Amino acid sequence: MKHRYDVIVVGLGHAGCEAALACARMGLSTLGLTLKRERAAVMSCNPAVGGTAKGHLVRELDALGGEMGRAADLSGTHFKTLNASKGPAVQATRVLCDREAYARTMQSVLWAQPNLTVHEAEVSSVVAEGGRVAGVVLGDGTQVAASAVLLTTGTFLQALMHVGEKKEVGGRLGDEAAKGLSDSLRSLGFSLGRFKTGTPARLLRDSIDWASIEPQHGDFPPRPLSLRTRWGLGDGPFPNQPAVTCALTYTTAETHRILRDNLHRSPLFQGEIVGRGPRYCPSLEDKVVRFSARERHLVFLEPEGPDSPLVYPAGLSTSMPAEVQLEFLRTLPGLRKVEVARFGYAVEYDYAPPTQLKETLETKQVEGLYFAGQLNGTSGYEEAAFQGLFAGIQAGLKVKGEPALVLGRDEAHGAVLVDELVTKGVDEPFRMFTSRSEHRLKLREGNAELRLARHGARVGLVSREVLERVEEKRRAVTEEVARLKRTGLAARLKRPEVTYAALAAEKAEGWPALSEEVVEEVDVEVKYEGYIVMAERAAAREAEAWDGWRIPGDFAYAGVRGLSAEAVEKLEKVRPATVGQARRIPGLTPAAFSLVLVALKRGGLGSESGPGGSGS
Amino acid sequence: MSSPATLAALATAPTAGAVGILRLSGPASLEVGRMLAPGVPASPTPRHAYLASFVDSSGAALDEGLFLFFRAPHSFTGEDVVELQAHGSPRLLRMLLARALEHPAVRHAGPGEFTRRAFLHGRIDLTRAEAVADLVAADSEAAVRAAAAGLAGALAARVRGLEEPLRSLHADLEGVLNFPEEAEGADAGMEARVSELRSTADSLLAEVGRGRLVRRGARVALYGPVNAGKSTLFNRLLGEQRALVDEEPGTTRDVLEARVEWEGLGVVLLDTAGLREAPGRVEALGIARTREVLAAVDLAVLVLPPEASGDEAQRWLRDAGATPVLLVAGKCDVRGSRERADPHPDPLPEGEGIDSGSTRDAGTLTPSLSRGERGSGRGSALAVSGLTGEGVESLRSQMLSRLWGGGAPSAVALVSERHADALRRTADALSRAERACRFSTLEVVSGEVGLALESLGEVSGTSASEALLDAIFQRFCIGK
Repeated sequence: MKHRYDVIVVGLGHAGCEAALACARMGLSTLGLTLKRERAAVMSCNPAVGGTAKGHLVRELDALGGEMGRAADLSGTHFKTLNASKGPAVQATRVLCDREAYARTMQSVLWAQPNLTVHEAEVSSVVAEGGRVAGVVLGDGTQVAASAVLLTTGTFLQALMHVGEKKEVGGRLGDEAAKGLSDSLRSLGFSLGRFKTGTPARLLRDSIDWASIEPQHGDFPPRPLSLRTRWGLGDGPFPNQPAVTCALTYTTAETHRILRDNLHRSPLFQGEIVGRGPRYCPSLEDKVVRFSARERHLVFLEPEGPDSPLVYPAGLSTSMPAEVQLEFLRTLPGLRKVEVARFGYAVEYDYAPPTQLKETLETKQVEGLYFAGQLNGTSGYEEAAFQGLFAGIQAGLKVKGEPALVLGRDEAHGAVLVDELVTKGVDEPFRMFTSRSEHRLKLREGNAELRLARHGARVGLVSREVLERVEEKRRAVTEEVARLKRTGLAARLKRPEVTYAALAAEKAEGWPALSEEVVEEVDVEVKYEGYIVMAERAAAREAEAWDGWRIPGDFAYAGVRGLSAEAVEKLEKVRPATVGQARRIPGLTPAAFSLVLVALKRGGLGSESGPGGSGS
Repeated sequence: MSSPATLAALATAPTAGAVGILRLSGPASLEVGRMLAPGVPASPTPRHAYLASFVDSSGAALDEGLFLFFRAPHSFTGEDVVELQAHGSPRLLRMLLARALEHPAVRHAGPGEFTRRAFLHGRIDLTRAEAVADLVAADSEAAVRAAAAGLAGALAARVRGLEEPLRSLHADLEGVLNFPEEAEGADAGMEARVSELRSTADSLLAEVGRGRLVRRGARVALYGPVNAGKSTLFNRLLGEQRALVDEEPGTTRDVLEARVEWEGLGVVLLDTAGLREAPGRVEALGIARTREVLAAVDLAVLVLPPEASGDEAQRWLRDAGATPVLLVAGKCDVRGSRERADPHPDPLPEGEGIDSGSTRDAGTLTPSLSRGERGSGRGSALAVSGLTGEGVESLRSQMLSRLWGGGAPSAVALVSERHADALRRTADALSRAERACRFSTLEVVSGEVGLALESLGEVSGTSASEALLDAIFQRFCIGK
């Protein structure tokens, strides 16, 4: 380890790996710090990558030059395309991985990466001088200088684990917590909040009666996440792991009774956990209480690898005492004699409200300091990884003196993710949904590379070779769409029952030979054109009506008559630049919004002077 | 902010019956109220009706009535409010008002100003407040009445009635798209749900179309061939209100405009007589200009001479494009025309011409006339004479009933133009969603439902995207 690097990345979870790799690949000397080297890139909860909206994020990350998609492909044991019948924009890839193989694969990439040094150490503080980051101080007092520092510490800040009545300091079972960093951030002027998350027990595979429950097979052939896998540009075969079969079971009335009888022993219901929980259910006890009318909840049993003795029961997150966990687990079909390798637990941790960040994930407070991942209050590997890559790119560009990467909400779900975080903040662990994007029809897994590869190439993370192939695909799609329109065939293809293949078969002669992915894209572009135009028009109008109406930076919300103290606080915290942003502040009531509008055009109520009233 | 003026106004019409109300709102309300009714205690119990003597400046009793005090913020305006309920003599009420206005802190409330105060204090929501804004600008009786209905939250309630089921539907569809396992099956019955909401939105929109007539007044053009009697009819329709004829003609100096008020509805009458009669004009220019005028009015009245043929009528009808047309046989005073009361047997082929139902895509808010409605006036032209006044009353009432689509002005849900536009986009998105149920994917249907909700949110003030996630989490058990 040297005493000076261009970039230091603190924490090598899913965000940290992407950040460190991006900076090193952009040619910057990069130091990656982790509490334990062999725990880098560990999947601390479910052993899967992707899913609705998350698959989109991974495809986008991959198109920008990130690593997660490729690591998931190489360690994947069960590939599934979700929502295939519901439309190409919500269709999403989910990959169950061999947990060990995933971490191993990512680690081997890290260890082999030129310009990247990985070192085991705890960071006790971030050093800033004159509003600029200067470096970090390690647990042993060593100072390391850097032009940019990225914090990707996940759930490790002041982490506290709960299993029933037992509490233990630590961010993940078997790992310690990062203790000093929270104080250091506070002394730099950052505010911190508290969230909680949970994970289920790990079951012993041999103790499950697989024959009695419904098997769930993966898709064949599997659809990979990474472009490199799809285009055969990486080394190694695909699929690279033997397939595993999962199984479906469900909770029973007896399960729910046991949970209800023991609610007083759950730290969630005892007030022991002070962090605010999400609207979605972080634990099975939550589900049972909030959806008491439901007779059962689905549970997916997912083997953690072809040779792993462990099974992850998705849907059974809990922080009940161990004996209660064992008791309720044995009430599920297939689990009558189940044995538990590790019990489920809840983790409470500090997060830094992301409204303290700029659009680049650089902190507003300290120049050159970036936050990414679960530290920003998000949930999920994919959300973390995208932020890690994004912050890594921005830090790298800044150190190199190049202009920042600007990604619009209409270009990537990842851009929506970042925009929502920094403008709205979070009041529960934030996970990505495709519903969050007003441009969803355009932001498909299938066209991620068409949207983003050129950005990846501009920052130096996507090779010329890949970019050329992407541009070739774009040309092929554009030409074919144009040809179909010219020949009037586009009108026929718009009909739902007409497939591209059917058209091709009918008109066999002179029909161009196109690859399957080009055909897919052509079909969607033609069928969706009209709907996309309408959606874009609505988004543009929204932007014009509200986003174009600026609020003065010194606007005195406290002086708005009738505005509640709570609304004033929300508005002053976010300080929206436009009326549109104010409108998106979560929890701001329509009445409060109206009052702000009126205050802004006070005296002109009848004349509708603001752009928002320009409809007439 | 300095202390606002205390407002005073009569809250009932000056001619009203048994009880008249003088309302005061603002910091000096109680002081001024007690000046008029000195017998009331200095700290009256809020919402308690005191029997009190109202006095003049010399202290002599004018009348006996009720005194009510509402303490801020628990009042209609959110300020201190005093109401004096006196016997309804207009003269007495005017005297009380005049006396209140003598107080230096008091001024007379402008139209809608109490409501504006209420809005500024967060007592009413935006839809009502915008109705007030329109009220201030409204210049016909119907607009004032409709604004009052808007104030009662009629629009807000109607919008909620559409918004709530729409939000549930959207949450169900997005639930299925985002959480395929947890929300499986929630999209069942989607097509029927979309259709029902689409028709609710359409009927709301039809009312909005009439609301626009109230706010802006209706525009009606008289057109037809030379010498059909348009100008005489025009003058006759203006009748007593001849003085209202706008001396400043249309921008091209070829269309005469005049504003009248019929049964509370403001109507701008346009006489296109000059179009083809101006000497030295190229005929084609006249036709183009007529079409332009006709495209911009709510109703066109085609005045044909008694001798016009069916072919001729059809040609003229085509000029009106999508605008509804009322057919009139002019100069019925001319001898012999009585025998040809119906010179134009059904000039329109079915499904062509005057159905304005198709105009929504063109971005107008013309109220739809159903086929049945327009059918009634189609086959037989109304015989009128501008000269004798024969049939003019009947023409006037037909014009009104065409403009209202049969409904009464008081039933109009009044909205601002901005809201009307948002409602139109809501209805458009739902009709696309309905098509998409049959011809596209679930994600497209849900996207259009989302657009509908987003547009409706501009009226209700709800941010659709945030409300969506709440709704999804309430409906589905989403977990780890």
